Amino acid sequence: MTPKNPQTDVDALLPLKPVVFQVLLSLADGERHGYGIVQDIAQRTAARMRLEPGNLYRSLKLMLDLDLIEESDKRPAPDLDDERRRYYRITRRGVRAAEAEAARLAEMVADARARKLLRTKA
Amino acid sequence: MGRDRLPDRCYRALLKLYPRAFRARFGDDMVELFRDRRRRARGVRARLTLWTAVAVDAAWQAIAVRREARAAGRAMKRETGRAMWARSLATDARDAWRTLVRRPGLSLVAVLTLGLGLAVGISSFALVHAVLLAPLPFHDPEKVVVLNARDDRTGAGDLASPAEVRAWGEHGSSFDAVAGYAYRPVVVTPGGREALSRAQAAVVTAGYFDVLPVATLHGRLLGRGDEAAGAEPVAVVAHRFWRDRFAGDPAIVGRRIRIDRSPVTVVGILPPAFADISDVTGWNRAVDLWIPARAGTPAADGRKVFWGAAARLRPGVSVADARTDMDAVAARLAASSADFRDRGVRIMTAYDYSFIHVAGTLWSLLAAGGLVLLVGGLNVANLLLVRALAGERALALRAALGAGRWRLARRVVLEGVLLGLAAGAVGTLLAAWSGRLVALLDPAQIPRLAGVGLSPSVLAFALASAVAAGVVCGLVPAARVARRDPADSLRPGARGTAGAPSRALRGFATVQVAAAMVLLVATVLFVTGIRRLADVGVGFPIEGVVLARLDLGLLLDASPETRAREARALREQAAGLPGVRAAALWGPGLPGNSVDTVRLFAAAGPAGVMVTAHHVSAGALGALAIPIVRGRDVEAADRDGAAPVAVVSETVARELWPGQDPIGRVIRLEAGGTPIAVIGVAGDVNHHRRFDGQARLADLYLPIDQRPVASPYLLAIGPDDATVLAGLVREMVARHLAYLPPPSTTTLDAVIDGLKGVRDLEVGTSVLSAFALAALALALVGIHGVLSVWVADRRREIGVRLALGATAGGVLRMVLGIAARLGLAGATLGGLAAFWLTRVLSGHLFGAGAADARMLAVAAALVVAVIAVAGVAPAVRAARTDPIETLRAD
Repeated sequence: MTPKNPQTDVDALLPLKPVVFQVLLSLADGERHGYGIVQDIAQRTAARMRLEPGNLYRSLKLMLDLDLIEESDKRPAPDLDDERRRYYRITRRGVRAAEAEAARLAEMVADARARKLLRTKA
Repeated sequence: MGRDRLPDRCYRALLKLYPRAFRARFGDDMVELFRDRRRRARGVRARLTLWTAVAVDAAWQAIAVRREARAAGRAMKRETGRAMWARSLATDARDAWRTLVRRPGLSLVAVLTLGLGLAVGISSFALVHAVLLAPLPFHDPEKVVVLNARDDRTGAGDLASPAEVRAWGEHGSSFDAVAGYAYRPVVVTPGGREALSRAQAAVVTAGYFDVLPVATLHGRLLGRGDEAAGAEPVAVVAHRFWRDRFAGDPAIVGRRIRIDRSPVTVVGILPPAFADISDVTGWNRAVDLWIPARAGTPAADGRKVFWGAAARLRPGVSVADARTDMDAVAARLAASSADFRDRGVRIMTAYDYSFIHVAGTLWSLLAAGGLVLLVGGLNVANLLLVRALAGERALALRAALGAGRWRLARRVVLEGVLLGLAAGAVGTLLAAWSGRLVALLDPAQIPRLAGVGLSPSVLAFALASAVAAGVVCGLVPAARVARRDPADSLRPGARGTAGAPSRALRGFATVQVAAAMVLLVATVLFVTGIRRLADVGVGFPIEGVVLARLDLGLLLDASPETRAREARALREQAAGLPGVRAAALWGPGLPGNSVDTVRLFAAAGPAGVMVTAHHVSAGALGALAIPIVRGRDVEAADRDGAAPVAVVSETVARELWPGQDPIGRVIRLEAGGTPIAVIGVAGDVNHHRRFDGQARLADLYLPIDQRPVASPYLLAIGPDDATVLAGLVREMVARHLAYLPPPSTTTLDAVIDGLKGVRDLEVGTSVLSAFALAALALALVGIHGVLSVWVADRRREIGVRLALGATAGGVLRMVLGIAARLGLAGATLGGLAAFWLTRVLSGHLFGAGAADARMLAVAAALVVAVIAVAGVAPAVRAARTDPIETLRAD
């Protein structure tokens, strides 16, 4: 891929699909394998978002193609490791995309709050 | 973990919905994830939910993944420009590499055959490069020219007299310096008291080191002062000579040594890189010392002295300018003195002169090398074509799926280039090794052979020719792939059932056979050339004649009387050796090889005729079986003090006294000189080193006792083994002249063979026959390959034929028939090419004539036999085809 202006480059990806955003969030605090991502998302969304294998891996493939995540050759502590599983980690571009998406969502939330659609405090 | 139980297998089956690449990449992880999910789903209901979810997920996502993959493909296609091209090139190169590695046997054959061809091509180039293309080892080499006298009546080149060389230097305005030189074997006593040893000296005029400037390692060069009459005798020595004879001692400068018994002071040592003019003119004299042509010495002013000459052009003067200038000089000189009448000057650059005698041989060698390369290259083209045809369905499929034809063709070419590079590496190694072989052959007369090697230019040539060979080999199959309509190849049973291998394959095979045939004819031509030269003689038997040069000038008492007495004594002793039929003295040249040209004046005519003079002992003509047709031979009574006599050849008698009796006529060797009576007429024989029937056989035989020669040859003629006799003669002379170094002995037929160029032809024959063998072997591999592929392709058809009642013998004959037709077509084509080529080239290759029908028939028979051998294995394989097996196979 030819290097472009990083910001406009990432903006073109917005809005991110919810699955993609969730995967980025999952990987934001560390490397995980596929099942780890599924569990983390289920936990954070109180099981409202369930990822089936097909959906997860199609999304992972897209994200790999878009250079938002990459496969990791690093392994967590050996006792936690399942060597047959691939681990993924977020790339710089993935971080920028997640930030941009979060900012977009925050803007929308701010708008909603301004129109009194959201009562809770920020 | 690894248990692949039923649910896992079911899920794996579901994954089949995804594209293969996706499945390969993520399949295992997806199964793992599924397994985790399943482990948590307890109870029928949970399981049902799970299965429904994953089934819907698989179906839905599979469609999405496929859609995205297609979109990505289209995006890839849109991505144009160099990046895309480069990436696809890399992919293709990787693909090509994989194709080659997948069939290592075939690739190895291709690499080896092309490698062999390239090796021949590279070594031919290395040789031609070193001899013809590399700059001469001189300072400013393009300014160095070689001067020769020219006989204006015949146009023939000639050595010059010292007077001529001096006149050219004085009157010519085109040169910075003109130098004369002559080579002389000498006997050296390094420290004054040690044993004598032989060395090669060059007698040079003062301008020599202006023509070939060099800085000495120690001491000084020869200067103008060294040439003056009465100057102290000095010498400059070669680096190798200094190292070997003086142990590299710099203190030798200023010390006295003896050359031919006379004291000479060494004044300088040349650097190892210095090249004498003879090192590039093909004389290969390996000069040990250079001594000045001192005024008043025989070497400088003798009547029978002839010089080679070289000059350095003045800056800005071209060779053409110099020729114009020297033509005018020659005309003025001719008008001023009878000595210069009918004498012109021939000027050649040292570069042209360096290979004038060998250029034809070298270019022929290069052409022959090119033919071997062609045969090897065609093998690779064949292989690529076969592979391209075999892979045609796959390629056509790719074409149908949108890969451009150009792209497909490019892949085939890339395969060729990869093969070419590998073969280039093999070829370079082989060439490096064979370079040593060429040196072993030691072709005489080829200058600068030591420079042959893998220089950067040769390596560059190797790389370029390897890539070029690869590209060319790939182009034909590539063109075929590009031309082919994919629909044809995809039709079922598209592998046709036509009677013979494809036209391209047959064409390649035919050209291979033809090239091998041309080389074979050339080899046969050289062999017959050698045989014919053996038949062309000097006109008298030369077998069993042993020669020893007698250095009588080195005797302590070198008076003419002593020399004559010693020579006579040696002749008598030689005649008494066991197995010797007769012994004789001969000088200054050899029978069959004489250089002593004199002008002979008949009493009647004012102008003389040029003849070759031989100084012979009594009975020498009879001993050599040179017939006396009138009068008598030289006899013992014709000694010093008796009336001067001579025998002339028939040609001389005919030219001077047509239709009259020459016996008793008077001749003189200079106008107004001593009268010499003609006592006999000898039959015409050839002493003149020309074997094309063009020599002018004008010879004069003088009694050696009346006209002594400083260093005559002792001839011992015996029917016995010449090598044994040579040993005896050498021992006898060494014993008799105990204080002189032992003489070098040789045989007359060896000398004459060398003169005829038999040795050169022999070298040419070894090289050519090696090339022809290589080409034949390569053609054999190539044709075997073509037929094997053809048989493999036609297994079904052959099976059907056998099932329908054809006999194994019939199948055998059919395949062998194809081989025979290929062989005949190639032999015919090659025969025509050889016939034409040898007629064009016959003038350039001395001794090798044009091809005749018998030679062509011999070569053709050999070629067809080899091709038949190539057909045997595939034919037998075809005949052994099991019809049932082949019919079931489809």
